[in-house]
Amino acid sequence: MEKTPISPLGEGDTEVIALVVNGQLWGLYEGLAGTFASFAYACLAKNTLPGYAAEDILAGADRAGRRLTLTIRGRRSREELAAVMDKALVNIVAFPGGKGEACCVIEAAAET
Amino acid sequence: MALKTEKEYLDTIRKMKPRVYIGGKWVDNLLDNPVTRSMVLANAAIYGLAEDPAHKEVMVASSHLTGEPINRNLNVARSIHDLDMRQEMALLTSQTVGTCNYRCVGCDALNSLASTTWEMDRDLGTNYNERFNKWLAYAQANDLAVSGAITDAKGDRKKRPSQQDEIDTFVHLVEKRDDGIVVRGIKVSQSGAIGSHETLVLPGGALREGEEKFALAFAVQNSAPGLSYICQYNAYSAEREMCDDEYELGNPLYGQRETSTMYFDNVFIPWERVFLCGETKYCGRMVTRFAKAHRMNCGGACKVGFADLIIGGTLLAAEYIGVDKVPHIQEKIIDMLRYSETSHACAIAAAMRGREEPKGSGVYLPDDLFGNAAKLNIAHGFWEIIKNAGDIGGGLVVTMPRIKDLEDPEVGPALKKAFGAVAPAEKRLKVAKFLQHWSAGLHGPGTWHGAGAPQTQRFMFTVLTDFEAKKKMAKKIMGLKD
Repeated sequence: MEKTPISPLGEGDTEVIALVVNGQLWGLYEGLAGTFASFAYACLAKNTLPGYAAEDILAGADRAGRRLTLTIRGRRSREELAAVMDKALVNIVAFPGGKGEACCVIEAAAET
Repeated sequence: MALKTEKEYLDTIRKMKPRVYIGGKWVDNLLDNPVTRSMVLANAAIYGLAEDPAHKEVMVASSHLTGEPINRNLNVARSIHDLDMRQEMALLTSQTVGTCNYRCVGCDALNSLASTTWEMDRDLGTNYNERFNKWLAYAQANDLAVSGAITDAKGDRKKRPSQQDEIDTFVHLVEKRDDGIVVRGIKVSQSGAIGSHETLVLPGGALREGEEKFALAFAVQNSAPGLSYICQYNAYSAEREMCDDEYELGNPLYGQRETSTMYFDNVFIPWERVFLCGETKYCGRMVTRFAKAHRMNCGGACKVGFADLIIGGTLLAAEYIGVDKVPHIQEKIIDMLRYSETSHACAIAAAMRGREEPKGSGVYLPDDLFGNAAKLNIAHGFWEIIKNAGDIGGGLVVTMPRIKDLEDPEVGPALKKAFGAVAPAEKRLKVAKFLQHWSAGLHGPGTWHGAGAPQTQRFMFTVLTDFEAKKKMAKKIMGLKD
């Protein structure tokens, strides 16, 4: 049978998520549409980050539309915070990269 | 990059932290625990096969969604050739790792979903197929390891899901939200989800009107909060944990077959990953189509790969004690081959007689009767194969000491005398341990139940066979009148 592309991923089928650490953009991540909703549910309803079920890591989470603001427990450098968030995003099957404008933002900061 | 390397897969798994419990403790890192590591290394080896040009025809397909090269574990069969290469992949992966291809259930689940979501969209005007194709395109683009979960815990088998005292024995819907659904319940005997990126969850069986909340198919990210994995634990798990050198083990790198009980404790699934929600009428055919594919692959061809390994080990055992030319030994080896090659032939026949289902979907599924024949034949044949392996391997298969005992200054010299024959003692013990792994391990019951217990295939034989036509043929040739 002829192999004709019938449904490649188009605009809106994936989500580009901007990861902001300590107020500055760290990088972009891309996941299937719905990834941000999964991430937000983890933080708001389960009070944890994906992949961190064994740790009490989340001190606070707040969502305003497509922006999620997180407070991560412990004093951590910007690099350490970014590593925490990178692992959490990969655990919800979003990977570094992504083209175009971010449609949602996850902002992380350490406890002060 | 549509094809991930073995290393790239391992790099992502190092970051994955699903909630995994095994033998009394939570696993911090899948690659640090010796048992979970064996599962992950087996999956990595499957990625490695796709990198090898010698296996490209079998392991790499072309995506019908994008035209890009993809791992065949994420391919929707669109032709007889695709079906044939799929069953050959089951054979090759089993020969390579001697345990599950942990992407196999996911592969057969996604073929069932491709077929059934297309049918639902056609009949009901839903957009499940479009959603599924987008999920699949994403999985293919990132070469995700996708496992599958089908079997519910089921509770009291006399009762329907909604009649169970404990409703969690079936995965069910808890809440519908604007952005997705929340599910809870238990799936059991799940192979390899812990080392996968995602799992495709299908209904466990046919459902009736009124059972809508159990009618669910979705993809879940394996570290989604609320999802836990309670791994199997047995003598082989303990042995792997206790041993200080994996060389001692029957399958040093890849282990026995590792499964877990998946507990969904209010897990969120975004709508983009939901492929059936409430349509009870389509659950039976979704499971049947999965089974059709899985009996050809897991039930048939995969176990032929295991049989090849067992036959190889048995030949070595015979050679090492000088009985390889003895007629009754050779006869038993031929019997082992008879079972395995017949099952391979059935799997090939299932592929060759495959057809588009439903018409117009573009999705090819294997022939049901031959797929069931492959599985039923090897379910019985496998016991015969391991019986002969034990017969030819001798009592040593279960009475052997540790291999490293050969080096013990006190008992080593005696053991070398005892077990040295045509080949030195170490080789004999190594082969005996390999045969112990197969004949006294988990694979007998695993092969019996994997892809459905034989009673299911017997039932399918009664459904798929035209018994009246056979009687008519016999009467005609006998000249017997009605």
